[in-house]
Amino acid sequence: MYDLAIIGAGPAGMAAAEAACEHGMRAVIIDQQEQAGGQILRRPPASFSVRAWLQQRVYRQLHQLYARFIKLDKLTHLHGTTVLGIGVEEHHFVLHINGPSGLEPLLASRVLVASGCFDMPLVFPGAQLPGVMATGGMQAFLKSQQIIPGKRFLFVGSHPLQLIVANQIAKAGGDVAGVFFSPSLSKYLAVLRSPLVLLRQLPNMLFFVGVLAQLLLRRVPVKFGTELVSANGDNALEDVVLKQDSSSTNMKPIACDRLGLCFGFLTNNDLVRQVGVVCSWSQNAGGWIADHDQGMRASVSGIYVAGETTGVAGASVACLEGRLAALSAACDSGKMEQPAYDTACGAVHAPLKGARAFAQLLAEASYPGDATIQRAMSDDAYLCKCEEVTVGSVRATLAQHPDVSDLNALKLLTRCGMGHCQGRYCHYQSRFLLATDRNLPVESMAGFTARFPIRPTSIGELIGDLRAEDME
Amino acid sequence: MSTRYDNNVTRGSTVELVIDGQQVSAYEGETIASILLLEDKTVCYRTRTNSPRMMFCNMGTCFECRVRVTQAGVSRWMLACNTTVQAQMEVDTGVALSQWIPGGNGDV
Amino acid sequence: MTHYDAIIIGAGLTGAATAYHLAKGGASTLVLERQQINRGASGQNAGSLHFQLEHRLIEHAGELDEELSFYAALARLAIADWRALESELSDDIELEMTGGLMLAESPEQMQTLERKASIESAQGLQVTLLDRNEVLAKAPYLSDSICGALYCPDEGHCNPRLLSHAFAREAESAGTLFQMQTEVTGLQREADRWLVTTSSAGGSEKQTYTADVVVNAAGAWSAQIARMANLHLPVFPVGLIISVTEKVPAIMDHLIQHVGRKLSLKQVDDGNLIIGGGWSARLPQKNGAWQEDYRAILDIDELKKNLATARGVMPLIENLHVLRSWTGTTGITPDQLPIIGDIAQAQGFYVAVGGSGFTYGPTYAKLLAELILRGETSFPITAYSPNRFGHMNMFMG
Repeated sequence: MYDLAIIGAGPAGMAAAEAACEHGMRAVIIDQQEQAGGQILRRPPASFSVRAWLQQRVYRQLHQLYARFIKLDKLTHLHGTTVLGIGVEEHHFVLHINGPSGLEPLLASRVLVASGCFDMPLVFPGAQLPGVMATGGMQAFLKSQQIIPGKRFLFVGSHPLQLIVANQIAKAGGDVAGVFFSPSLSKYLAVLRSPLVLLRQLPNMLFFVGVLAQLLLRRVPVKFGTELVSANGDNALEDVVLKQDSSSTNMKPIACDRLGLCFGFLTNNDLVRQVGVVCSWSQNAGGWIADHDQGMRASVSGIYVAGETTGVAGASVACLEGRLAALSAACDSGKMEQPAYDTACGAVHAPLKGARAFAQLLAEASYPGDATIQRAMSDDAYLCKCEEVTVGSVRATLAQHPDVSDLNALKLLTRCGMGHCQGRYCHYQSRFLLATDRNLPVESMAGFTARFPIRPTSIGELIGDLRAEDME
Repeated sequence: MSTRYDNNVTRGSTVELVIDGQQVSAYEGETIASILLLEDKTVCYRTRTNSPRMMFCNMGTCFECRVRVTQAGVSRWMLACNTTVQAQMEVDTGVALSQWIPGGNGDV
Repeated sequence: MTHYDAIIIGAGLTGAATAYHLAKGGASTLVLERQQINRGASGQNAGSLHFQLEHRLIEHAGELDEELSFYAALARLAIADWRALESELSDDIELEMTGGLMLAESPEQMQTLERKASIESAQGLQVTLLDRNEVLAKAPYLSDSICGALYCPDEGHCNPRLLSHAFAREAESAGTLFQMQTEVTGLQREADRWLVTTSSAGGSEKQTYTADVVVNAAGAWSAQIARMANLHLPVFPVGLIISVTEKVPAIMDHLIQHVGRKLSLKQVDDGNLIIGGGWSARLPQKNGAWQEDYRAILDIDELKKNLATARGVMPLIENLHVLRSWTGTTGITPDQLPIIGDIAQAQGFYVAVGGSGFTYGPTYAKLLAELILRGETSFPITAYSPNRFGHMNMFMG
């Protein structure tokens, strides 16, 4: 029985592991990837040697955290392992983990879920075409696999990450056809009006400005107020059609073999919802976000949350929340006295407040806006790529069935959300569509129920050695 | 066509595998997804309506990069983005996975 | 205060199908539903049409022979009803009656199947006993550990996601009103009518309706509804597990069951395999009482046994991925037979619950509507009358 099981070895999980070990907790950290670091530090394979890997200033603290993390010798590391579900017992939790040795139960008194986020998809015509990719996914090819994942790239989105990825590609010799932002420039400049942000986040701001300058020097077009109309091609992406916000006519198609989508991120919240943690809905901070108290305790006693699980806010917030969550777990299990806990938390709360304020401004600035999301969702676009359910067919079903007022009902009637991604890539837009159609508040609507296993798992893996004839 | 970075990167030993019947050389530690991009493959699997699909998230959440992988005579689909190449692995792309039963080695 | 001939409580399969038959018979009907159409067990079950006697009944065959033969007779009626259903309903319900196999894996199990076959044949149920080679010729996807099977050509499956909606749509076009997100909070008999009080979701809006007849079609929640009318109804909630795999090509067209193990296995139109058979999910409780929403919790050990049972008879599923395992809550009765009819102590209070509610749901609904409209049924269902538990309500009502 572990004192604390940490799910996710990204910034939040690593910071939590460090704090847990400091306070003598018997902890285990579980991650799907083979190496720790999360998506932000998606490392090259151990067999590669890369000089000056991610040397930019913004990564410095994370490198330091990683260096300390891999030296935590009291910590149990389980890599290449997925938590498929969490069971609640009277005094502990059972994590159903699927790793190299198959499905096994792992017992822990307390669980910290820091399961991160993934790139938000956009529903638009042609989104399913080979060559349309998450910009974060492209960046992982650059960071980890050290390849330029295409020839001619176009980026469309609302999140400034696309500047960084476009610049990395251009620098490495890739052809970048342009970086297009859906919101107008003034929306981003509004962030600068806050003196607090300017003061505290000057290095971050300068980093983005520097990247933008480099792109412009490379003659890469960077435009604002441009929306995605469609991605086109017979069997793979050939060109992309965009539209200036103010114009009623489409722009000339732009030829490219890769379209990067960068509309922010959605939280990976299946596990917390499956275990019964109360979540709220946030349009611009990643969809489902786990409710928590000041010490990162979730609504289920013994479950803690940190990082993007509590709303997409980036690595700085994640590190601080991870540390805070582990401190709370240490205090709640008697490994730490209340006064020491209060002091330790005090040291985290102040920087956390500042980091969250910046994250909130970034979330507001980089949210594409309801109208953009809605305009892209034309009837011929796939709402659910896995099951090939179009927006139009869902609208028709809604018209036929006036009683349907939540996502599970919609799913049962249309198969939307029933495929291999288990609804991760359609729940956001489905909610949007249903709320708009029914004139319901988007925040209050029940979502797809999170079910075991949270990743498709083969029957062989699930049953292991169990055979029907042994059950008698 | 995708390309490997050359500056600052030293790669380890090579691994031979088979993609769509062709012998392909990869570096140890590379994922199937990387090799597919480098080999200019534009489809991982096909849907029930024969629509081609390719990796989207590259982090194991979207399941769009499923490819058929045969090892030791057993075929199953695997996520190209989360699977590191292994010697003698046989990878087939463009298989309509919903028209095929994992475990055997042929189409139905 | 609006008056209806009938108010149905619950928009699951029983409620929607009863509404359809009542509307056809000209009764003005209101359906009240706490959530939405088809959101309980009606939409969450595995969609099996199993006319062979179930595992749970065969287990107690010695004591229940009379009931068993009665069940077989009802099965013939249900088969006829299902055969008529596709042309009767305008929506597609993905009905497949392509046969079912109840498997045996030991000589003892083969003997059970022989006995079962004789009971069922005597009642005019079409079943054929197949030996190992005949089974494998018919269903080459099965394991060669099979000794034989009882084949029933009428068995199959229907899409539970669609059936209740199809009935509801017909009922609506015949004038039935479906009131969603409306919870019944009180039932009172006043003079010759029922007073039904409701509360909308969130409790903001209260309403009172009157009706000659109240139909309790609340499934696992039937006992709570009966309680509002000061009646005891012995219906107990049970949580069950069902799993769905990824899509594969059409590899099987039978409903597979097992005479000695809990199993149902089939492939639906979309290509997914549905695996169930009555493995338990845990109902949540607090301070010794069931949590009222009965949201059953998945038990991983039960799930593993369910999947291992399926793999035992069909090894090729080993490499298929489970996309979701879900739980649903259904209601069972003390004698495992359904409760259909009116309660003597409460005039105009009808109930239909329990007893293979999906396979027999359309038939139960039809018979219940006959009873309400004409005071008699075309098939004898007195054995199902709630009054077999009448002693429970001697001091109630």
